[in-house]
Amino acid sequence: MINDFWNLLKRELKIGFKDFFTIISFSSFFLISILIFVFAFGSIPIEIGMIYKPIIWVILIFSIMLVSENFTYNDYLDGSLKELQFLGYPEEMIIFSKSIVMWLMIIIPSLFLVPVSSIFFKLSLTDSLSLFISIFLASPSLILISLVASLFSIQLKSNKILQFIIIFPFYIPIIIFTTSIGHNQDKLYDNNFLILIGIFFITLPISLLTSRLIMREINR
Amino acid sequence: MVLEIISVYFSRNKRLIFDNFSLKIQKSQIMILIGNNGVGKTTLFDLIIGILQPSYGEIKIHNKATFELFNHKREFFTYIPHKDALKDNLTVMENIENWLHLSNNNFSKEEVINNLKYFDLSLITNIKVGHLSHGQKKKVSLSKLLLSRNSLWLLDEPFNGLDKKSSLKVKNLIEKHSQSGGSVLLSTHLDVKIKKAKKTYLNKLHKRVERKVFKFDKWEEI
Repeated sequence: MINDFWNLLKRELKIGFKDFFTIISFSSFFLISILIFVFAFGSIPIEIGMIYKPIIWVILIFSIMLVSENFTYNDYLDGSLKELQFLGYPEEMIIFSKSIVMWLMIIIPSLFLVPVSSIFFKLSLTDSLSLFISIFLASPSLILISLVASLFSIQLKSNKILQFIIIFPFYIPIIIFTTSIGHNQDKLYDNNFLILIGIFFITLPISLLTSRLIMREINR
Repeated sequence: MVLEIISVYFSRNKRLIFDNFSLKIQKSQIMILIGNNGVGKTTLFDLIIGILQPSYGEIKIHNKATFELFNHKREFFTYIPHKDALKDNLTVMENIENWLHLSNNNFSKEEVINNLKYFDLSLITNIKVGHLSHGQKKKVSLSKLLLSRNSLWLLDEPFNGLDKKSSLKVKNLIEKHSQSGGSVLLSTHLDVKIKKAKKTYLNKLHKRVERKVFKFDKWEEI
């Protein structure tokens, strides 16, 4: 079982890191979107400092949704998703390995971009650190949900509007708890961090189970 | 018995595709499924490999039901699907290595290159698959057979996109596999001649199924 998982992970890493376009497109989308907001607000530091959280989180969610299709749709098109299934790899394992590689490929660069965005939004060190931790903790759940969404779009034969309507509500709890982090300005610790960990442990089994069901339906 | 399909019924989108369909493949046997597009050749492979479940009936590989195989599927058969399952941004060698790891086959790099010589691919091992032609991609996909140790080969449209010379090579490979005790089930819409191969015409079965559906007004009655 561990050997199977390692084989899948190696495959995903090899494919993922050969695809620099995904990493670059994610990072550039993230950075350019932040810059657009910063330029739009101009030199009004108080207002932009107040609303930076929703801006960053909405950008992060959209960029994750944008990239997640590369991880499943390409595999579906070239038949390798089916190959993994008929080689006997459990669907949960396939999606779990994809989510790990997706996290490594797109969240690590975005964590590096946090200090840059902190400069743009003129954030304090505490705010920057809490943003860093919240992205670190909330991103696994976001990635799992977006992977389910991308599988859903394959199953629905690319009906992306329906996918968006059905899946988007699942992002809302994460947005609520991440944007409310840091109301206590002086302390870095926040109970919402624990809630984000809790959301991940709820999202993980549900999204893996849902992925399995969708992947079995895709070939019907 | 290497492969047994016992009285399989299967329907998709309220359309009956297989009605009491049975097929047996013994050791060293080659079976060719011939049929037009849409008669259910790929669906039959999907049923055999366990991607789809029949509504009724049973499918056994080496006397084991396909749903019992779980993650041991890769030890029972080698399936070359219609879609190549190759990643465009990886080289030929990287794609083959990926497949070898996933299918638990161990071959050294030299052995892989030697086997790729059969389809004249040894000189393009470092080229990205995205730069290859459709026929070359098909040959990369088929070269997996040379690196497989399974006795049952399932080949969905293996001659599609191949030139005459390569088609002949595939035929020879199939015959050689059969002579060494292996079994092959392949599908095609062309009339292919392979020594000692049995043929099953899916078009006739398909017409029979269509007639049967026509007799009934409601799907539930079938």
